[in-house]
Amino acid sequence: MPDLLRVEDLRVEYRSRRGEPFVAVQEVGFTIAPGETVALVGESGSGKTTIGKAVLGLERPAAGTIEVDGVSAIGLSAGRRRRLARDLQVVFQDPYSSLNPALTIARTLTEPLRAQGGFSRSRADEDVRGLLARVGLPVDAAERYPAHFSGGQRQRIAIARALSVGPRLVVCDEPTSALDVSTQRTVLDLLAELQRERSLGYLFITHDLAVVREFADRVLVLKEGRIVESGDAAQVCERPSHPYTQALVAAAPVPDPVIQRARRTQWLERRRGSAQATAAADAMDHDPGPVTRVPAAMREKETSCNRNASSGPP
Amino acid sequence: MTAELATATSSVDLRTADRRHLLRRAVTFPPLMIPLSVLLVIVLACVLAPLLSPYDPLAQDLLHVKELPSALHWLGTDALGRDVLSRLLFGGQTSLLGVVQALVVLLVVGLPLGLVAGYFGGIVDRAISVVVEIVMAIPSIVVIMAVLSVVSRSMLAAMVTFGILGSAGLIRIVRATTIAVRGELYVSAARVSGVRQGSIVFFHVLPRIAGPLIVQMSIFASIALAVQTGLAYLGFGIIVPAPSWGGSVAEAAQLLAANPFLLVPSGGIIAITIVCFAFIGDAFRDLTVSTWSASSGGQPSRSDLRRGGSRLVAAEAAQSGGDDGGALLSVSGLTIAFGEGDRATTVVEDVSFQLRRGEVVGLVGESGSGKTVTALTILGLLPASATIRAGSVRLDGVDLLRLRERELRQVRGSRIGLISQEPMLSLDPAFTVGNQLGEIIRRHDRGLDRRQVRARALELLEFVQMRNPADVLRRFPHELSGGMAQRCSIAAALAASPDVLIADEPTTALDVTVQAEILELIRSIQQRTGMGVIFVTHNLGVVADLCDRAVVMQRGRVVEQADILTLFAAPAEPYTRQLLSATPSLVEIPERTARA
Repeated sequence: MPDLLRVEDLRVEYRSRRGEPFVAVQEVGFTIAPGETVALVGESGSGKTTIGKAVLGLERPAAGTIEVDGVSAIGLSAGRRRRLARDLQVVFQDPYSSLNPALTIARTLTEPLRAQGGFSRSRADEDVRGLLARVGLPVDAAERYPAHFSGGQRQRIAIARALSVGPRLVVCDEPTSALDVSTQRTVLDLLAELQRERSLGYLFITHDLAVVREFADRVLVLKEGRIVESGDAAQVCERPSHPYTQALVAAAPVPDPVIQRARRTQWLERRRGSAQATAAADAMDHDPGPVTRVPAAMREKETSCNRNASSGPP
Repeated sequence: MTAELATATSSVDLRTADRRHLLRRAVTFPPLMIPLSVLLVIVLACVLAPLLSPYDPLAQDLLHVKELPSALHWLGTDALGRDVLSRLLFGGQTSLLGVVQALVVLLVVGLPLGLVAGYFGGIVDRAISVVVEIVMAIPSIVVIMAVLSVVSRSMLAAMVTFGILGSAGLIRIVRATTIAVRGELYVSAARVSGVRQGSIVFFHVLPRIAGPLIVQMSIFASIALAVQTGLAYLGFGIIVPAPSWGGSVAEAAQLLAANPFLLVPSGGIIAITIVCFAFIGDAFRDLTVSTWSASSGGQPSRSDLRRGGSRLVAAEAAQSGGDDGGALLSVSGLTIAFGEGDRATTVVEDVSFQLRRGEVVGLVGESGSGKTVTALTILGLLPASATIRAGSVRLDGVDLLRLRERELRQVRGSRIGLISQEPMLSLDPAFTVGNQLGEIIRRHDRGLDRRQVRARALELLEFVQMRNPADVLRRFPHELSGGMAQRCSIAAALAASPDVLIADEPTTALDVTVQAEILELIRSIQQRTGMGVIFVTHNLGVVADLCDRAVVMQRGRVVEQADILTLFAAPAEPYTRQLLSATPSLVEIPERTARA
């Protein structure tokens, strides 16, 4: 069976004012099989979103191959892009900006269908109801506007829109980053269910390694536009081999005070001058030493504050 | 596709769903319907002038000149004994026709060019923009006069010219809105789906432009009417005995001393029409915008909250005893509502917790839990729409809610510091870091000279472990990375060495490696200075990393508070357990047990 998505040697450049183009992504390659979730993880500026845009045809690569189901997805005509849209859809991060506030939910949900042509009103009614039911929203949502829905509900609507044409590959660009943790959990559960039902492939873009570990099959770690490490998601999270991945893993706080205390000690040790950590330190904005002294100004104020406190309120 | 999954029965009429709301609301929206009806009456009366007007507008009756309103002449007669009402009705035809001509030209020229410039950008945009700028630099009345001197007495030519000149402004507005909409994610989603560009412009861009467009058109209609009547007043474009509103004003002006009333009908109809245009524009804008937005019960948005800045509302605080058990800061029974009267919603209810010196307390919750509102109350930074219904916030035994604004200002900054989620927003983009830190340092210690202020600023930046502090002092906020900006805002919060630091999601906008650095910085500063920290966050990992105790909030209430070892190992409340289990983790976490 051919790969659902195959990316090879991808390179994306942005024009900059001073001649030299800025290389946002280079030498990136990976594949996604049906039913598989591949995560792109990295910090801001790592190029993860740019890769998603290139796959979606929103950014034109400078070099490389992007094939969906064995067919190139670069520089398509409008008609070819429409045909591809049946297989390839997207869920964006910001649930507020990803739905047009001036259109009803029904209109939003049927947009990909309308683009395909052969859109029939009688069937659309049924489709909209089916989609809303599938993502767990009430049917009367169809007539309402996006402003009436919470962030989590909007994300469900965005998922329903992506599903409307029955795609096989969905690019999820930080689909849960703007959501509360309990909402994030339900949206991830929904995505997982849909994947099982339809053996969808997900290109899952995120900055959160914890989500990667729980949701993705494989992960690619990006730094400054290049893949620095890739492999099985659980393995990369538990035993990262590249210093940058190690820095990312070490820096992510874990919701357990005992484990986190041990991790923090490790993190401090790492930071305290291990040569390996230089790669990680590059990512931070400086190389701090421990706090050694309180500024004289603060010491003075401190004592005067204490005086205030002891002599009663000001 | 998914039809087989359909379970619901209610029918959704897709054809009309889009428009029905807007129309139904428009009909029942008095601010729109009243001026619209008035305008409609005026327009109909002018259109039907041949049927309605009691006299020939040109018929002179020299026996009845300069008469006041009577049963024969409802609005009186002019210097030649012509019926004023009839002249206004016929005159309105030319005046209103001029407005329509200008509007049509404005729309036909301005809308497509603005859309093209905004949507496609590039060289087309640059070419259009250059022309627009040139046109906007030319005074339109001069051009219209020039046109009228060539095409003499043609009001059509004048109004077409005016429409073309006016379209420059419209092009700019349409272009700017289009550029904004083009960047929206829903347009990207449409492009991914292969939606045709025409459809994207029609369904996504046009509705968003509708509001500003209608406001522009209504303003333009007012100006066009003023210009049309102005030209007629000056005698351009109208052959003299023919009636026109501007002409009527001119005739009335000549008789101002003898018959001042004559100015009332002509001036009045122009004023009423212009006011109607203005009201229709405003009402339509309100209507389109409110259709898309939820009816919020006067609750401020998160960003409103974070900006804060208004006076504290006086509290009917319940006098609880002053025993705070040695707490540095003690919040007790705090209840806060937004909005007034029946529409008031309680956003914080009976919240109590304490902060001891040297302690880090996490205020944890999801959106809408009231954690930010609670934190801002401590600083006295609630928006004006908030009312403190009950409770107290005691700092060393003094109730901050009972302080006057002047007293509160002394507490803020010098005893309580704030670091916020968006460091970039808390720094003024117009001033260097050195300027901003210096201002804060001087505010708290007026006796310092320039050198001393600079030395203290440097010291503060070193304290927050900034690399190259001397260089950073000279930088503007946009020249800083997110982590550096957050360090600067921490330095600013520490300038007066506060006893309490309130950190409102200070690491949410940062990358995870930078977040670890900032958390470590806050921890080390806290340990050195012994201040108390209230850390507002939604992230349980951050709580586990930094806090000694945590207060879990949900829908404005405190669900549970405990030291973090207890809270994470044996959460007492179902909500806390739910939060914990929903939080993804990088490592496997041992089973938690419910506390007895």
